[in-house]
Amino acid sequence: MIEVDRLVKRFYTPQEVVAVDRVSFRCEPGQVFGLLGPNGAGKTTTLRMLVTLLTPDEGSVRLAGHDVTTDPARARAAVGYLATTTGLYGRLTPRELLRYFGRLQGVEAPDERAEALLERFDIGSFADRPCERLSTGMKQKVSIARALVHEPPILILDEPTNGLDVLVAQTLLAFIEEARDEGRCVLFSTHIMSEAERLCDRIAILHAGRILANGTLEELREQTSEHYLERIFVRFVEQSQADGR
Amino acid sequence: MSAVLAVTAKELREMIRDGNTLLYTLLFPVVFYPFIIWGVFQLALLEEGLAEAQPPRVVYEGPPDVADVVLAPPVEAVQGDELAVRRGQADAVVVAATVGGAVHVDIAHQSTLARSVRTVDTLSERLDASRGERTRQLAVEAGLEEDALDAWTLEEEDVAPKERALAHGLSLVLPAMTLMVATIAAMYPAVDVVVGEKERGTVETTLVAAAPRMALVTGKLVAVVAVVLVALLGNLLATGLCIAQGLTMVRGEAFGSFFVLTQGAVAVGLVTLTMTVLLVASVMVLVALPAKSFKEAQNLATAAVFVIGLLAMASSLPLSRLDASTAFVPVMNLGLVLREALDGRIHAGWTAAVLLESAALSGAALWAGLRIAQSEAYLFRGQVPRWLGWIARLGGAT
Repeated sequence: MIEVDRLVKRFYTPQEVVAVDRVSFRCEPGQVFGLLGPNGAGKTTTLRMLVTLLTPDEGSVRLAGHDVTTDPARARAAVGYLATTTGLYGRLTPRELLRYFGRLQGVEAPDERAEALLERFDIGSFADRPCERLSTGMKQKVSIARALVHEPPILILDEPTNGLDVLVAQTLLAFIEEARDEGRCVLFSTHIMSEAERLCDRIAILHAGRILANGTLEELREQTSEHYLERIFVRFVEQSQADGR
Repeated sequence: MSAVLAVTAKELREMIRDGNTLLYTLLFPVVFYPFIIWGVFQLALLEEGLAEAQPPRVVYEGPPDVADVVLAPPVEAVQGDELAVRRGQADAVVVAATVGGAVHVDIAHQSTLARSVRTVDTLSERLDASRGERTRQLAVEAGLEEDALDAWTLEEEDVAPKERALAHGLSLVLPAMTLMVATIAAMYPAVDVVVGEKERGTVETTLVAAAPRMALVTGKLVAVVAVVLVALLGNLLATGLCIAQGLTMVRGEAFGSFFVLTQGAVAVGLVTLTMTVLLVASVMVLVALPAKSFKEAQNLATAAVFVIGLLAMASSLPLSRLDASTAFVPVMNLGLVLREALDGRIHAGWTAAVLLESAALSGAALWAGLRIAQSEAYLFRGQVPRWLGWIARLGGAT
């Protein structure tokens, strides 16, 4: 489970910018939670605080019961993370990469686990080819397998379909559905409304660092009297601007 | 510990598959640098051969008895004047004249031409020998002892063991060279393992792994140390072989007859080399950590190479000694330990102090590197620390 409570992050560049402003939400096991917002809304900053890459200035985050500030190692062990880039080691093969991350994650039998993932994601045919020579789709498969190498109960994905072609993106969306069906808690950020509509059990609309709305798609429709998520999103942003927030 | 080994193994695997690392870290120190030394010996032999094949060409003017000395074979007499020497058509002009019973010899040569300098050396040697012979002859003719007319006689005797002479010569050059090779060899892999993660976009997913950042930084450092140690030992072995082969050719006698290293010197040398590699690798990893690109890291590392190079060269100064004033000067002290070990003088106390200090500095560099790796700035440069932001706003920044 992911529990985020009044999370705040400020940057100094050197002027103070509040990138994330009192953000709170929860994501339960077997649920897909979408963080929806335009570029610069604070999605990536929020996710980076969740995975301990950034330290919150205020508020708290608990992943599978572990506080990211006081117990970051255990919190990280509970998370599989997919960043905006696949971030694979180009000179390693997928097999070597999965074994390596298995060891980093403290998996008991990393070699066996790697073989199981190679089979599950149909990577066998290119398992011994350097990652730098793989296609985008192949890389994405390896990246997903890496995120699952330690069988984490939580998956956090930062704009996972960014830059992918339609077919590869579909594979990834199918993987998210599969992860939900396996009982994992999935949090992903996106600015693509159709993805959120298709996948999310709950959606939080993030704008200028603040959550404007949080609920199921039906709840958001009821609140705005709009059917399409794109319209719903615009309504919340307009209302926020009208309120001067 | 298993995470450290996993990171080390992965980094070594990546390095071995990277052409640049192989070239700059392994191929250059192990093959290219020793090849240069081998080339120098070959050039020296070639020059010696050329000197033998090219007899000195001398323009002579003066009494015939001096001519017998000056123009004795293999010197070749040629016609001309000083202009011929300037033009390289002759190697020296010798003008001898008898003034009040003594012979005054004037030699004109061109110091910018090696052949001319060699000719002057040959002529000076001959004339000195002839003068000594003439002086002794005059003394005998005057009914005196043979060396009675010499103001003094001088005989030099080198009591240093013959087999220590080369080791002493190398002790003035090799330590500083070794420190520089280690530093240059550490530069590329350190930059690659640290900044490569950022440039290739792998750092985020790696830092999110459960392994502690201490394990990630230490694993990278161990990989750099391992590869540089291999490069350095390979370099020393190849350089040693080249020097041995070259000197054997030049001197015409077995290398072992003029070069001996004690077991103690070898042991101290190996420990000191390992510590040297640990220190320079730690420094290189540390300077690469804050950089956000290869270019920036290379700039920082080049500055570090410059500083280490100066300290290394200081250990080669003729009067430098390992004592209280130098034992705690980083890098220089390692060079001095190597120098004194080569020279057959090992001061156990100072050596221990140097090794301890270097270990402490390496630990400090690792600790500082870990602090950087744990900071947000390591990943997301462009932000500034909060306190700096406050100061900037006080100064009117918006």
